[in-house]
Amino acid sequence: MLAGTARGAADQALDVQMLQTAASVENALYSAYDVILGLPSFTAPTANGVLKNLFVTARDQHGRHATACNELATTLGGRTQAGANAFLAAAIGRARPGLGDLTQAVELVLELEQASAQTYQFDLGLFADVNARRMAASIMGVECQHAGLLRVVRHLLTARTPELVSFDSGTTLRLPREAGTVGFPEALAKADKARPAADGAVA
Amino acid sequence: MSGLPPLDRRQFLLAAGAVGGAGLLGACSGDDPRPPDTAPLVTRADRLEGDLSVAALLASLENLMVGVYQECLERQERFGPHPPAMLGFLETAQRHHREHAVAWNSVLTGAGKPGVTGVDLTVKAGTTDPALVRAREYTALLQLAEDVEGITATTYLHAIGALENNAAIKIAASIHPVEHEHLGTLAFLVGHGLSSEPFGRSDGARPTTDSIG
Repeated sequence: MLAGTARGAADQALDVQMLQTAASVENALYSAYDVILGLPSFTAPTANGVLKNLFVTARDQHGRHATACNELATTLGGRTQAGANAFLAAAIGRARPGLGDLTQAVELVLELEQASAQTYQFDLGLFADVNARRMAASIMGVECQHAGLLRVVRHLLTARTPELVSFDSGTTLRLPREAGTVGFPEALAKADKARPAADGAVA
Repeated sequence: MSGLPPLDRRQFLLAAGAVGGAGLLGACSGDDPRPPDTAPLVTRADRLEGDLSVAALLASLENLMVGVYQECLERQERFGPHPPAMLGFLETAQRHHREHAVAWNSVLTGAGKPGVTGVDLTVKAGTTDPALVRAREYTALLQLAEDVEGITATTYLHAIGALENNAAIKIAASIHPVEHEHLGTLAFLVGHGLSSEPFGRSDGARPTTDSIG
């Protein structure tokens, strides 16, 4: 009985750590999208509307994800994580000088999206609280959609066909074959870019 | 009770590879001929216990997607060549779904149960068959792909919250992202972008009472 109680407390503490770390990753993502959306390539009248809408939607969703992670962490007895994940914040800092270039901006947020989704994926097997597991899975799916779409956009930008980042009628007919395949590189997702459970924990 | 033997992810992946090979051999051997489509052997996943019933349901959905994408590919004979990106999507995603079915069948066979070769007949009769009948051009097939990927992804989300065996949770957790990457790609190909909904929903998940055959 005592052992069970101790295990339960340890499980809950780990759940809180993972939720705080997830919130820290979400905060880093929000920050990255927000910085990029303030750059001329997104504020200019000539900015790509599809890309701008994608970035605005993703940023706002990451804000909601951070809030949800923090709410559940506090429900489980932890504190709110208001800061950005230090490891990912450093990556944003390194990338910042080049973010005026659309391809580099997409590359950065894709890297962060993958880290976030893979952190949830890794943690799914560790969460003791079933509500935390359900919430993590519901967020992970949304972030994998971000990643899938961003990979398509990255391919089109790298191929110097930004005009194909468009939802105009007939664009689908002009897309290269790779636009239908690059979004999902593997049949079984890996989690090797997951952030460690304690990476963003609040002491 | 999950009804599953202990199996970590590495063991599972090895088993999945082995079973995948065995499954292909079985398919080519002619020893176990597929029943005619007009009289399928119908069963239900909930005749299995716990996590195994979920594994059977997910295998049947993956099998359904392999079949639906095959039909979409064959529609080129009537509609003309699909757009290159759509063709790439169908062929690559179909391969993924085949591998996902192998993964779930390895769980079933690892627990001493037969693998699922049939499809989710409930979704087939209620969603995919009518859509295929109505389809007159490639855009309808893309929409069908998005619908059936959405149903499957939603079922995975529900399953992750319902599974008890940790190895099974990890398997679902490694497939669920891929189904959503498919959806992200389709959001671009269909041309509507991201949904504004910040959280996945599980209220359209298929139950284990669906017919399989």
